Amino acid sequence: MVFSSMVFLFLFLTVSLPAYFLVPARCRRARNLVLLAVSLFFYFFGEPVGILLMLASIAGNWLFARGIGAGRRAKAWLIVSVVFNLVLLGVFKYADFLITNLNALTGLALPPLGLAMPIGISFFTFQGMSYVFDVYAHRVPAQRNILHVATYISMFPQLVAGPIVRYETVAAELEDRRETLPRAAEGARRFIYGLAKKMLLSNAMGEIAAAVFAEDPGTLAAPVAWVGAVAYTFQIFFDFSGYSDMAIGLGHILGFTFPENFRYPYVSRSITEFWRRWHMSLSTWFRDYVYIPLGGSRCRPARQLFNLLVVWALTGLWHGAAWNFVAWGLYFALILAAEKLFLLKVLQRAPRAVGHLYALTLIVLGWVLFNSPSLSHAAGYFAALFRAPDTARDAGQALYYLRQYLPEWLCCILFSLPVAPWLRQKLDGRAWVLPAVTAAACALFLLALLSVVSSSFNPFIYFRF
Amino acid sequence: MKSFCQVFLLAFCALVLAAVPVLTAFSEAGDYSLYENRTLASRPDFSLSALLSGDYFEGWENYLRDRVWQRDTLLALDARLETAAGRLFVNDVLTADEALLPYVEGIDPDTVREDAARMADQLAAIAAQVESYGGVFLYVGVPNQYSVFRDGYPDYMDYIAEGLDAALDAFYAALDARGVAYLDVGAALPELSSFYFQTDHHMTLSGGVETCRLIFDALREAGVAIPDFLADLSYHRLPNPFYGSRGRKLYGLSPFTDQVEVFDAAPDVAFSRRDNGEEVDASLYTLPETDSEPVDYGMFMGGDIAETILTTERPALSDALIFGDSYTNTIETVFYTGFDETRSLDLRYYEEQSLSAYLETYRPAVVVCVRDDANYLNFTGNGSLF
Repeated sequence: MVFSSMVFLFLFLTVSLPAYFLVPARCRRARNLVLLAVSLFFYFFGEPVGILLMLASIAGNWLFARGIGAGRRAKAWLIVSVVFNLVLLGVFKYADFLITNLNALTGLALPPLGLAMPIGISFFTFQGMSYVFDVYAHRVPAQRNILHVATYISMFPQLVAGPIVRYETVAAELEDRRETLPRAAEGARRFIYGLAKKMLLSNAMGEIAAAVFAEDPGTLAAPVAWVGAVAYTFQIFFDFSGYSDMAIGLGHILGFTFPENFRYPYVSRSITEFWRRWHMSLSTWFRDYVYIPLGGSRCRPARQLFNLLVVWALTGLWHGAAWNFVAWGLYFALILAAEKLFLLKVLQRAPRAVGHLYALTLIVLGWVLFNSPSLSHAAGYFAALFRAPDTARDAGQALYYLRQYLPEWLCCILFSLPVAPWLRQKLDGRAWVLPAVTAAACALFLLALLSVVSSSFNPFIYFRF
Repeated sequence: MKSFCQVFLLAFCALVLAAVPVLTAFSEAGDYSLYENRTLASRPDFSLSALLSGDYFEGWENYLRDRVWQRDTLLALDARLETAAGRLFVNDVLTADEALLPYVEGIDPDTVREDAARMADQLAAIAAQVESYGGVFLYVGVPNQYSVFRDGYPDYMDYIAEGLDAALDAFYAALDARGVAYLDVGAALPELSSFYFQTDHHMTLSGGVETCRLIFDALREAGVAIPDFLADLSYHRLPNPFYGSRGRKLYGLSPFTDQVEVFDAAPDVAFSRRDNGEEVDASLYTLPETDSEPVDYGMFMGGDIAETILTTERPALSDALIFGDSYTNTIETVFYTGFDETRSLDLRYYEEQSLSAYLETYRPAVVVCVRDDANYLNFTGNGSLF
């Protein structure tokens, strides 16, 4: 079930939220049970069979954490849990990728498993692992009650597309939280902004990107290729950050505080800064659970480079079982290594505009690699980006995409910049601001709902991860 | 004020989210969308297999989307907002000075030559088969409505017209090279735009008749004896609202209003009619019962039908086969007057045998293929000849 679907908005929310709030706040366990039940239904709706895998993940991670919490053979339990989670991911996400490559390398003809990848497996597996790691590191105690762990892993707002909520972040709130009017209102507003980002901006940019990336890169004109790449750059940002906003907003309504996932990543002046602003919950997960345990930055330069390559190859692979995702991860590893070694110092001395241009260009090129169905397609697309335009057709098609979606282009540029915080700071304290913001949120809600009803193009990029 | 705003926002959201499903449950919407020309999704049937495959829940999403309260009003509002936002194409329709135009994908001029040769090869093979038993084959190229009103596109989109022209040039050159007889209606018919709807992608009835007149002239030149029943035809416009394929996408926002033409008196040739093997009323179009009932292009010849046979019991005349997309429908309203038996195929729907096998079975003396220029190099449907 996606947040921008009719069923979610008009059936699921209208039943699940009243059911949740009808249980008195003092009956925290009962409220959690309602939350668990509606979350399991939410997942069952999209994955009637795949839900068994998620339940297995919940049961396994609860059990392993109990083993660790018991104190004896903690490391062995940890290793078993890591193997368990990686096997789950490996079989359902990476097996066919491995088999295909093994066949290509050895000449074997092993048949692919052909298993459908359950929605959100990367997210709930990482959340399960985070719980076990936090118990192992004594950051949180092992939960006796499996329902707590189940509620944490399956919580519907962040279940299928994040943010990746670490157990220690919400452990206390699972047992004691306050659902208040201000938080619910803030949550509703945040949800509306996310829905509007998704329906009004991301989908429009997605239409352009889908059309351009479907063309043969061999005949793609440079202006069109750039328009397509930039459109995808906006699509993925407003899609994923919109989803995160909706998740964080729903969390607020339910009394939870989920971590922020995006902080205006396209204003970055380096790739290092970009990754501090983009998909922050994933970056910090890899930093804390992979990079730092490997030695992080406190080791010899060669070892640091190795750590970076490992983390970014894994980051790429996390996004999908394909070589272009690995290449995308390594692409950023190399840039980050170069920045660590010398580039960051150069950029800090350069005019700000240079840093912005440098970062944006590399980000856009990175998304081309990310969105290409294969490495050969990506290579063809890169060639198209730098091919000299030679006919009126080349410019005409690009102009059409710019003209047809002009309001969305302008809004995408505007809302990629920290305009909202700037306005908030400038207008803080004025009496008319709050009613105006409320009215704007209501109008935006209606517009987004209208788009939900009328739009047939409504993909969610991060669902496939 | 702060608390009021918070309560107001939450109440507003709750009210909207709760009201829509309740109003939807109690609204009486029909099963057919006039604007979209399709049947709306029905409530999904529950079964274990549908549940496990995800089809059941997906069915609910489609059902809700199609049956939401005041759906047509909401879609019209959406189209109005898109127009107000200055969108060039609203629901893939451009409101140009003279007509509503579709969004047309550009054709890469460098890639058309190969497709043109391939299509011409297919048509040459069909022509050879027809000629092998003494028949006459004629390919009829009809301009698509976009081609006729192409100047309505902004200048920077001229690349689409250039690509189309390149495709037409390559295609006609390929037909010439293979000696396939063809009729380019765009070049032969003066004042082309007067024969097209402004809100639909087809020709009007008079456009169809004029095209048929050109076809008959070409066939007579090829030696086919065809009597003339088209000389004194005249038309009048029905008062009924016309739902054009483009106009309906704008949900009533079209600045153009078309009215459909019908004959003052149909050609004076009696005939019987069979559709897909079944005897049906001998009619050329379906007239609405009232003046307010909406009509659309599908009224001509009953719309797109796999196989239609019109028999006039005049054995001195030849038998004919006409095949093609919906552009044939208005042509067929008079085409039968020239022949003893007229067969009409729409290969998008006819699946009993291939065109080649069909020709072998019935050996019609005249075979006419009608395609619009947006589909000259389309190898599916009526471009799938073998």
